[in-house]
Amino acid sequence: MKTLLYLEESLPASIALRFVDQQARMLGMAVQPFHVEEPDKKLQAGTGWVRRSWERGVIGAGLEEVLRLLKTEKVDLPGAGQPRVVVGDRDAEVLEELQYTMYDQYAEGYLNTARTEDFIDFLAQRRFQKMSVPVLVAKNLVPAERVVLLIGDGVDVERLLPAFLRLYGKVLAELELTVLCYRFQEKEQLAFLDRQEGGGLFDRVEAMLAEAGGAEGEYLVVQGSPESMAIYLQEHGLVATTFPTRRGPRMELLAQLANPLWLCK
Amino acid sequence: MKMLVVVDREQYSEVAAQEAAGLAVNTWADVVLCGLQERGDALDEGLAAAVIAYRQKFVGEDSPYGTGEAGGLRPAGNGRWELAAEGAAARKRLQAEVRAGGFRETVLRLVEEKQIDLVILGAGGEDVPQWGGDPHLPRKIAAAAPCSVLVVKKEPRASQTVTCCLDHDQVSQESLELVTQFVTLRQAVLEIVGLAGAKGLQDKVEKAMNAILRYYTRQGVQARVRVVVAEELASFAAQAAEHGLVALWYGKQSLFKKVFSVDRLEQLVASAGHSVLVLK
Repeated sequence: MKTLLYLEESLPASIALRFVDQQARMLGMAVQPFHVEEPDKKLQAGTGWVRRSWERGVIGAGLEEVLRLLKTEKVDLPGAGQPRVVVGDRDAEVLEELQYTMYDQYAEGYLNTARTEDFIDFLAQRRFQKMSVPVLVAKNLVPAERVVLLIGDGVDVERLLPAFLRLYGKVLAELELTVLCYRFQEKEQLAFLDRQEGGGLFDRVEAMLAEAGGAEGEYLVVQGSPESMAIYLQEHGLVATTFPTRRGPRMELLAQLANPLWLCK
Repeated sequence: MKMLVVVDREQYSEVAAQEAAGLAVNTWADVVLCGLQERGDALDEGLAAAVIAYRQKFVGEDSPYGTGEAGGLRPAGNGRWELAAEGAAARKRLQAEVRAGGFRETVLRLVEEKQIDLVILGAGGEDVPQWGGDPHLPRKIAAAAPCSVLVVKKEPRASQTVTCCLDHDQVSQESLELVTQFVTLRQAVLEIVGLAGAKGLQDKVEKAMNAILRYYTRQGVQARVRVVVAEELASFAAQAAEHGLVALWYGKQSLFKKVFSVDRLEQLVASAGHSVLVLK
């Protein structure tokens, strides 16, 4: 298994680096650091050897930036070779890398804001819309073994569970797993509903987890505002769900969450 | 750490003393508990009784301030009255006294004289008579004191987060340690919030957030980060206060001076319906 990890010298990238390091060690996954230098079009020079030598300079600067980050964070990523640095458009280059090399996940940092629009704009970027591998959005550091499976509000568990188990199947027994069915309500006070409110979804998830080797999990149906839910989940770990395609309660919740997100396509 | 707890006879001071006692007992701070009165000709007996009662919140069997019952306050000259006895078997200092004079000047003088690291004082609602008729005292102290200031407005409850807002890159080691104490005491999650101006989050603020995050991760404190637009700070702080304590890192290089002036800091401290910790 292999993750493509986007790095640059920034706080979100630093968080992504540290979270992916934890996750990769737990899952036995290799990590490929990746960086795109996006030069100002006006500064792009000529053709032929002139361009090649200019590109070498730009790539060298990008590589230095990534190596500096790895050195500062004192992280020795498992299975990581030399960071791969390319020049071009970030969306296009990430998609090309994902197309020509087999990866199981793409990871990138995101500095959380209070505005749902910022998160929607972030996910609307072409690379996220077009890629077929799951996306890890590293917002913050949490213990890698805590995982919340977020279902309901249109989540196709037949898509989510197989994708999740492809990565986490071998470590199910090590996880502190919560299966959460979230219901939006404007009231700030959270209401914990009866498990039966989760309908057949819980049974289906439980059966798939059991088939994969079983994971004793907590099954919750919770109703409340995204903000209150985000506070409740702050000490839980990674939140895994399907990639949201429309603005709705789940998108609002994902925007408010401080947890890292794992969004399968 | 040296802590100054400023009190008067009002109910908000009792709440502040309670909060201060919890923090002091857990941090083993040296404490100065000071009652304020305006006139220096005679001791306000009601205030003296309140100071002695608040002092009792700090002492106890497992307390670093010992157990003993306090005697009365005795004149110490220049409009000062001090408590005669130290607590029995005290391992840390708990000084209790009453001082007369202008409240703002007296507090700032005490901060300098005792080299205080944290001032704690209460504030009531708008309809409550406060601080000898000067309801603005807490915000004035928060803006003028060279050390950190906690303005306590509500009884502390089981809080889940300590939200610390930053808009500059000059953060003192003392303030970092103080935040650790609040996080540990409340068993809370720490949220480091970068305040973005019109042009977004400054690079130096982002770097400072990263350094702070690394510091707390090394300390074993669970911390997370977030960005908030400075204009939305008041509403964000009000919401964050529903789930815990809100703190502001206010430094000399602070962007507060431009987008979040001293006036606005004072406004936030004054208008917030919740406790505010100003970190310096």
